[in-house]
Amino acid sequence: MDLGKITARVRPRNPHEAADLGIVMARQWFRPLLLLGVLPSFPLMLLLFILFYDQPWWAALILWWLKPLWETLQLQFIAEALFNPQMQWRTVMQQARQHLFHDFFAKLLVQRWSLSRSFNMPVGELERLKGSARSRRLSTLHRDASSTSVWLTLLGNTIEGLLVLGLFGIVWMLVPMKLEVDFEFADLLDSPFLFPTLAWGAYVAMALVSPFYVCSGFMLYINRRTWLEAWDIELTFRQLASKPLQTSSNGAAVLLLLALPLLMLPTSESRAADTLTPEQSQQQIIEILEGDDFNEMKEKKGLRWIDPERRNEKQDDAKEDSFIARQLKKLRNWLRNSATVATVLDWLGALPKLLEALLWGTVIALLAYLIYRFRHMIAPGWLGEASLAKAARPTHLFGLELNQKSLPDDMLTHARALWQQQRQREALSLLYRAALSQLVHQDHLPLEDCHTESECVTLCRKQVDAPRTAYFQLLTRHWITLAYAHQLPDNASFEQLCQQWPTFAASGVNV
Amino acid sequence: MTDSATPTLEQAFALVQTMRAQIGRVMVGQQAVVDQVLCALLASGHVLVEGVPGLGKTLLVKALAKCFDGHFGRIQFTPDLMPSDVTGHALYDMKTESFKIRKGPVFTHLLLADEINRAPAKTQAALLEVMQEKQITIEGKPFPALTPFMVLATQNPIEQEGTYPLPEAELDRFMLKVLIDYPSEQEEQALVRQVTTGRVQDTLSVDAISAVMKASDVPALQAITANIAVDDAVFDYAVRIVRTSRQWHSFSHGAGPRASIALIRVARAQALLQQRNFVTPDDVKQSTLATLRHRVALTAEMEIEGVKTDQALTQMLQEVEAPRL
Repeated sequence: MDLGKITARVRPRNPHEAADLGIVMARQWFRPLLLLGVLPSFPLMLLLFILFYDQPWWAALILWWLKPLWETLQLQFIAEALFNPQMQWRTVMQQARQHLFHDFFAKLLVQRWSLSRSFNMPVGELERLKGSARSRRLSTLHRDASSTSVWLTLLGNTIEGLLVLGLFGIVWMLVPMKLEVDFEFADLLDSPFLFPTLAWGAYVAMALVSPFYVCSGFMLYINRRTWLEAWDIELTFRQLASKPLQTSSNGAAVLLLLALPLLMLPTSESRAADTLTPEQSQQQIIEILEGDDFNEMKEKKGLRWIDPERRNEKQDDAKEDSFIARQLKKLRNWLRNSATVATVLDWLGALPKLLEALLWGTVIALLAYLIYRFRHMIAPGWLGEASLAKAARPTHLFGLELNQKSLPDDMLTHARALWQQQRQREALSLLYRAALSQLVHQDHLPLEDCHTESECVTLCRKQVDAPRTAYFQLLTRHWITLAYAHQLPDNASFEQLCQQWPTFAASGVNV
Repeated sequence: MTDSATPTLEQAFALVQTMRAQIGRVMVGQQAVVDQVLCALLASGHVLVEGVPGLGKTLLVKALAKCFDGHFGRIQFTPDLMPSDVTGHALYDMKTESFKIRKGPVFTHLLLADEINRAPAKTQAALLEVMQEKQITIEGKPFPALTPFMVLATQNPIEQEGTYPLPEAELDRFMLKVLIDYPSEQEEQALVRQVTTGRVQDTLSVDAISAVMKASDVPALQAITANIAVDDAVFDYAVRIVRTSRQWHSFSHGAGPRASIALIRVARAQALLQQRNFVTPDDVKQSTLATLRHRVALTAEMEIEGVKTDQALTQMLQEVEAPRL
């Protein structure tokens, strides 16, 4: 970079002026800048559009995300062009590979989301700084002008949006007045051409805006460096140094003659300094400091707060203060001394903390609620299993006592005895109850109150082997006939049930 | 059975099974729908069928009518359908100089009211009288409906635009609301094979069905159904289910006593279909969805959450204890 070759007038500008200069530069080199943007991006856009034919907004989105890549090329060009107006865009294209892939991931991941991207880009791309060196440099540069670069980004986005709308507007305006267009706005939204058109519109807008964005950001950066490194002064010096030599060669001799006494001066002064003792020097410094050069008196008038410590000292002055100033002071004193105000202020001071705690509480409660609300999606069967386990061992089913302790020790003998006593219903009920108890406690069948008899059989079929299920099915059939049709099974059937019982109960404990 | 003597229970079992088999010959798949419609016929009720077009609703009604050699009528409900188009009207006869009654399509055994919700409430209400009272009034004169009389009204769950939802009172008149869904893959394959092989038209015909009995025998079958034994515990279960629906949190209003009555009647028919002479709690439980789904209304919150009536009813059934003995 040779400052001497700079084509723009270098002077410290305010950030808005600098951005404006960037716009002028973008207009100056619009064609090469546009080419540098479109050449790498257009084939990609076309490819993405074909790939995401059904969802064209993906193409636009991905392209938007990759934007820093060709903006790098544009930046390289404008940076060169600033010092060399004869710069050709082909030169940048030839080196495109090294520019495109320099710091590739950082550019697309971390740095992509910075709102002052246009301003930061030169640090990475031109100064080639990385990591902490880059952030240190940026923190120095950001002290001024970064807010303008943020606004530049927001403005760029807005203009892109307006351009897209404008493209639609143009199409709309080009529809001849006499042509009766009979469709609703909602029809346009449903149109299959909407999203492809939007995607291409967004692409065109991006391509048109990016030269201006890059140049403005770059000029903000150059301007910041002009302030920091005093480029304007350096340039003036250079011009001063080179002008006399260029204008007249014999002038140099005159300049030398003039400069001679100046060259002599430091020598005489340093000789004088050698003779002074430190005390003398000190004295001299004090004298100089007390001189008029360092003690310029200025008078300023205005309202300002006075420290309480200095209040007493200034009390006399207060008498001379204006009425408003006195009232303000009184108010200030009251505010400082009042206990109520102090409490209120304390409370107000604690308010942000309180609000923060409240917010966090709300967030945690909301999360907890969401987890609870969608628990079946997060962990299916989570709560279901818990309730299943709870309901796994009902003590009553269909009004029958299922607790194993409630069953007689020798169930079969008891049932047979009941049958003999013509208490058939009780006998069969005992058998059915024992079978259910067996299924619930030994086979862990998840029976619930709402299950009907045949549902119990269905559940049993899923979990228990076939011979035992067959027995339970037979028992259930007899039980249903007795319970709902009031038809007694014959003695043989009952005896058959009793005989098969041990096989059914075999897998469990003896009942 | 061709004579009109009262059949025995065993004969009734056999008759019902034959009807099922006969309808099954033309109605491929949809066994549950066939069973429910048969239940409604046996229990002397009316059915509201909901399903997309082209699932064989007309075929089902035709087949059922053919089974008992009954008449079959069909009304396509449209927004401009008038009550007299349903019931019939008086016509002045120039020759005899008197009014003649021209009976409407409602004078039939099985009436298919297609897309009933497309007609305005006035026309829908014309069906109310005949459904409840089994009589039709034309020009102030009551005429009895044929026996058996059964209405199968259909509704299309999609295309709700421009329809008149049935009022609650009319919905309550339907004993069952049957949901008819697409057949399974195998069933559809069988259906396509059956329709296309050796046929010119693209619909199934009911020619394959032979009449099992006469229309006059159906009341006897209905009487047998009404005498199927029901234990007190089962009565209690059915009533408890319906009463629970009134307090159930998912419903803004539950089912009325007509639902309990319908539930027991359907359960009885279900038992007959299962060849049992007594009703078990299972019969009640299995009939609950079809009997209650059109008589309850979901609360707004449940509708917003996307809960279906059947889901809410199933959830409710899990909370109702099965009969305790």
